[in-house]
Amino acid sequence: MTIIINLDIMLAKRKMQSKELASRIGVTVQNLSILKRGKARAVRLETLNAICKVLECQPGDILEFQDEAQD
Amino acid sequence: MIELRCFDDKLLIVWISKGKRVVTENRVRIQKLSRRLNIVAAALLYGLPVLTLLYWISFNYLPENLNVWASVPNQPISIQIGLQAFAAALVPLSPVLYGLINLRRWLGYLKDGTIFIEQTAQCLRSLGFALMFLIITNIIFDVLISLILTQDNGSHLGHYIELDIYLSDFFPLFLGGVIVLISRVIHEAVDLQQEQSLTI
Repeated sequence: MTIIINLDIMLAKRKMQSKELASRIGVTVQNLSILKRGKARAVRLETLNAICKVLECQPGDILEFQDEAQD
Repeated sequence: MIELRCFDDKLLIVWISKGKRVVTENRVRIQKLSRRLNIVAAALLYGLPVLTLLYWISFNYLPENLNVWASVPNQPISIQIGLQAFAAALVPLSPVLYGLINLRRWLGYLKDGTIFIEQTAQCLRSLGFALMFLIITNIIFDVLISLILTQDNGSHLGHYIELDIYLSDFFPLFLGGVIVLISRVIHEAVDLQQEQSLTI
């Protein structure tokens, strides 16, 4: 997948645990783990909005596009 | 938010997530009905071979309206012919039993509350093909049974083959096709559910 999820980095910057973020955005820890590992097929705008609100960041801080062909 | 409701003397937990009620009543109904149908399917699965054997063994004592074979002469059949006829009857019985096994497996999954998984699509596909195959086995059976029942008929005709094909014989083929189509729809539903579960 060429979309990289930098949720771990943002969590580390905000010194927040996955469990706390999961409870604050209203998803399960398992689902957040799927998202963190890049296994998710899609992200709801609603979820992205909640993550950005809690972590006080922009969607671009969490999602990053990497062109596999250039790598 | 959790709502407790009473459904058929059972306490039911209804989750209300983000204003949307997760309906579980229908799932309970599916489980209940599939449990009942599973019992009927089990009775048919074990009962059909026994009834077929009893039919051919007691063929001479059956009322005339139960003798549907035009090729049978008006004379009793020996126990040996009865057993041969039972063996021939196993030909169309095999896809029926195979279909019933798959039906029970599918109902078992429904009973456990697992509806959209790859195995349920597989069970339905096998059931559909078993029904479609029934038309071929019925033709084979018609040929075999006429040969078996006319082997010592004492008439000048000797052996003869009787083959009757009625429009109703094509009904299992049609039904099987519909079931195979439903299995493909369920396969699509499984893919959708997988995608849904991976949407965060």
